[in-house]
Amino acid sequence: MTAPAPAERMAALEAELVADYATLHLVEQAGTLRIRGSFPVKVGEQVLTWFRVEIALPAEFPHALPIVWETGGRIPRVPERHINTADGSACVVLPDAFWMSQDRAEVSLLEFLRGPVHNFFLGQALVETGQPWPFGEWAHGASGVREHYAALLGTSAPEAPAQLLRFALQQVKGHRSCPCGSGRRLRKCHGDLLRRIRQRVPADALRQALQRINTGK
Amino acid sequence: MTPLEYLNAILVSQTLKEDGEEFKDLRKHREDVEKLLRTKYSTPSIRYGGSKAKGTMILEAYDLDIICYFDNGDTSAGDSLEDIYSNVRKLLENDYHVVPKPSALRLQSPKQIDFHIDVVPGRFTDESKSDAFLYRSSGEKKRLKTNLDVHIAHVRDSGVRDALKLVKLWRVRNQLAVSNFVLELIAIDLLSAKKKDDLDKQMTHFFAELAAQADTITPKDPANPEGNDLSDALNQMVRGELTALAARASGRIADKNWEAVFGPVPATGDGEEKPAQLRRAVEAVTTPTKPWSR
Repeated sequence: MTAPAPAERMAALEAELVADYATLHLVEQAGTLRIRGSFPVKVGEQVLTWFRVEIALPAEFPHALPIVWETGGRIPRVPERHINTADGSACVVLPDAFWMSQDRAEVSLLEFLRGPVHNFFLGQALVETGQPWPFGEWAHGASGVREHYAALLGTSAPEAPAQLLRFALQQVKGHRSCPCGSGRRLRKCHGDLLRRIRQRVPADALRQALQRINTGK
Repeated sequence: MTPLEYLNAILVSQTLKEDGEEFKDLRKHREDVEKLLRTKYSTPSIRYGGSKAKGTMILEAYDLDIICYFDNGDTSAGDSLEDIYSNVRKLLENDYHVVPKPSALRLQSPKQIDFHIDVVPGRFTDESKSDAFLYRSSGEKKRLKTNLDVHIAHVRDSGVRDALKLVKLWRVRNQLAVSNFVLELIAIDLLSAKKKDDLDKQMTHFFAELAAQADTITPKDPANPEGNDLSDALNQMVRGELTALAARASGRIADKNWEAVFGPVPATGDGEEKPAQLRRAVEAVTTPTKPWSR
């Protein structure tokens, strides 16, 4: 099957989008598809608040995550509010954690909006009222990536996350020692986890995660 | 609820209270900005415009324009209009994060929280202090002739202010690329023969006509009808977006689905505080996710 032509792809995405989000629409700008409008934070059908957004769909979408900006000047541009100060984009979710929650290495636009994007703006609205993030928050930068993979392995061994990622990027046999440090063979320990990571997390995301851990950024 | 009742309920939900936090903040920022401007420039006329003066303020889009016009012969902020724009910008950058707009300077906090304030530097065209020239950073012409009083009167006395508030809400909710000023002019023009109609009929007419005419319509600036070319504010991308979204709104209205255009009427009167509502939303989340930071 060939990839849909840009106009067809845009029409299909638009139809998918507007059925659930009446105040969002798609535009094409310099070859990139962007979603613009107001994002509702809802409980049931009740809208509690709106955030103005722009969401870019990268060329690799749905194999890469959309990039979200809050454009209404409501959220301070600081890391503590999970805004990337370099380009103002919102760090709505740790990509590795999101990919692991999916069945395959593809993202559904609506599921991304209903899940991480909604939770992010719900959290922002709560933080505005002086309350903590409702579901917790990942540590910033490489620390958050390390925290995620360490939690998957159930270990605090500092080298374990990088070793897990190296294994995920290589064709490693099951007789190797498990990166969690248990001393057991991989196939008897975290072999299933490694398989799931390979199935769900795109290789580019794995490489980026490993690079972050290696460089500490 | 009839369409008219629904639209009126939306307007009520978008009304700013005179003693509300938004007005208090605006007044405080207005004083701070004027004080800052006066530290360096004692001569310009400083006045206030924007949606409050026009009577089109809504909760989701309330802006204050701080007009800072120098006398015709006054060069204290520079010789050219561009110098005035740049020097006022530099002064404001001492205290604010300044986002340059084509003729205005948008003020934000150092952490880029928006203050809903635009400072508009310019110079009066003559001693009458009526018309003014503004620097224009985009478009072919680098100079724009304008008149604050004419703009305010054009909107305030349009006879369709409630419709303009809804048009503004529609623009903001959809984050349309067209400027509010241009869309207001278009709406006043399209509704000029509908002033006596009910609001729902006005909005139905507006969206239908906009969908039909957005490709070609070019409004005239009432302050300089022949001189200011607004066509560059309506490029093909902007016109295409207006056509598509107006057609979408028109279709929804035909389906009697007004809520898909302006959203549900916010719940009121149940006494539930905002944090409690948000906590209820948290409890309803089935797939929690945590934010990160690169």
